[in-house]
Amino acid sequence: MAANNLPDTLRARLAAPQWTPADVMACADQLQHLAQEAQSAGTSVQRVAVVGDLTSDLLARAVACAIAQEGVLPLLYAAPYGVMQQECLDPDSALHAFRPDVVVLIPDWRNTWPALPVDTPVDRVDADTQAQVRRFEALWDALEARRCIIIQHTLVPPSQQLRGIAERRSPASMASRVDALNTALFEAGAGRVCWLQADQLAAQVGRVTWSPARYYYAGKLGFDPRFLADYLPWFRGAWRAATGRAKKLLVLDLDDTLWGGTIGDDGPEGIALGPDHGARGEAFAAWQQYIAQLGQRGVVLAVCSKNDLALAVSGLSHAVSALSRSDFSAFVCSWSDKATGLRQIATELNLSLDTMVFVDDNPAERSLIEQILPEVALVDLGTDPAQFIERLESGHWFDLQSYTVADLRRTATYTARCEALATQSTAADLSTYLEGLEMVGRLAVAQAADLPRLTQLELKTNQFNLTTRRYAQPQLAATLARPDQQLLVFQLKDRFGDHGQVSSMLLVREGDVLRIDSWLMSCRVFSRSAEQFMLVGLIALAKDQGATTLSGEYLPSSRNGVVADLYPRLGFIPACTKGRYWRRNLAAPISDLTSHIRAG
Amino acid sequence: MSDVLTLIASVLQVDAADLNEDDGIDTVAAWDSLKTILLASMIEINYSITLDNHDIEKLITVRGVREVLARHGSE
Repeated sequence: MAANNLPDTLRARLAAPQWTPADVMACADQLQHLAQEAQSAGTSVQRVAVVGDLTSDLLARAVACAIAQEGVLPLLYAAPYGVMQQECLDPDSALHAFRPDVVVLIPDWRNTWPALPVDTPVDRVDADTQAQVRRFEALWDALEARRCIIIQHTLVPPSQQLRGIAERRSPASMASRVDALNTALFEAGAGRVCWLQADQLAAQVGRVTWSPARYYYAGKLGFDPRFLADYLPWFRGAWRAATGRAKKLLVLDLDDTLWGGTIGDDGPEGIALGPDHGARGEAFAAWQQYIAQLGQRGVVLAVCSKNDLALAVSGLSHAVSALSRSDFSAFVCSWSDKATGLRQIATELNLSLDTMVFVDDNPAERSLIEQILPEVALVDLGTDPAQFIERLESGHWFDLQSYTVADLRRTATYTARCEALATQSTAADLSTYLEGLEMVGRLAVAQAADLPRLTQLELKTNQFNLTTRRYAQPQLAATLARPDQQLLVFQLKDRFGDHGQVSSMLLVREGDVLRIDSWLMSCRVFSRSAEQFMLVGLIALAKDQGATTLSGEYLPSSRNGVVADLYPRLGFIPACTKGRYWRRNLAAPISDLTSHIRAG
Repeated sequence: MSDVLTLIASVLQVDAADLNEDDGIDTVAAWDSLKTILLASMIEINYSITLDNHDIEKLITVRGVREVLARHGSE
């Protein structure tokens, strides 16, 4: 059951801009009731467990509300106080009996360590940190063995300072140890754990305010319940990252959004941008710099504006503008309604509307999108450009667990895709167009260095994902050492740019059969005959290894309909009556597998 | 209906008309220790006051809630 089938009153409550702790509790209890009903009716629900060192019931309720806000109905299990370790490690625990899809771990420094004397030697402190890392690794191992997605809070350092700055300089102080453990856990948990930066949330509201002692003593709560509402967008950001729902595309209006004023009325020199236009102009300039940095970090940028194209572009040639036309992978300026514009951008970039965040100062435009394209995330920036960055960031739309090379050149590759599409519109037919792209591909066995990017593909790929089995980095790493498994990676470049590692395949050898367990491809390179290129390479590899048959599996999801016919298109025949399993005889000719990609 | 009963009812997710002055954690099934914490937070937010642990411990009956609010000059 998707959360968009919820009763109207509950949906309205979930969409409310302001929440009280009582609202969180009431919504979560209603969601739990609905999830139990859905489960009894045989409808699938997302099973989410929350376990912590302290009382986690209230945060568990907020977790349920946040997941419902993301359009998913959660069935919740909140573990009792202080049993995180036991619940994760005991195979007979209530946690494992619940069979969670996702487990949220909420550690607290108070239950993690006893204090150390302030003069404890550094090597002893380091050894203590590593022991804690091993403790958490054991929890992750136990959860991964049951294929649970893990979301974990960073530890929030204590608010007490004892001796001021001296505490920060002492490795044995609790604050230093918490910082060191967070850093060590990031490293150890890379590709295994999605982090929620609870320490940053606490810092934002103030650590003393976040964790008042009276709530710890009253109910062993690590935070003040008044901040439950503030927690929701932080959890949603972590949830999106953990479940492959991360936002990829930021679409911006221009007038009063990227600069102050209306360029059609004020002209390029009259718009408020830069110090010549006072504090407001400075704030718009800083906002543009922020957007440019988002683009450099892999957020795909686009413009959707009701404007004259030439005038709109002239605004980006302003002397103070940190953004230029080339920073935007799609640029739609027209007098059509913005729903049409957003659909056009999604088509041009081959990104689904639910990966899009739309920023427009005009409430009427946002209202239209809310009604017509509810899957698009909307941001109300308000009217003060000095608050724009804060308001966009508060949604945690683009939170990322780590950077890869692919992130840092994403804008260029999406821009290249748009340019390639422009070429398509002038080409006589598809073959001519694909040949004109001068594509060069390489299918190779993955190496350890490829794993961070391949893990990211696992998390983010929803459309071209045959089984939507998501493998964490240690699981992918394990395949490199197993003789019966192989992980392949496909790289592509064309005359417009290097798209990098855009596809992966996990293969399992089962007797004479080589089974494609998982096959993913970035939406940037759909419909370019990459799948034919990869299959030809795979057939050669399978024959070399003595296999006689390739088998594949298609598990439908709400988002992978684009590959429902992939196997029959590639010459596989049904191996069952339900369209799930497919086979291709390796003795069959490969003349049906035409690709326009040259091996390189 | 008093504001206090309405607030308590909203936290407990019960009808305010069903709450009596003598009610509390022993007579209302929904009134558990978690709801007491939640009630403390809602009182702090609604009345812009800060409770101490002695106050929070008293939030287990309607009468106790009134006493705490009176102590803070909010009832």
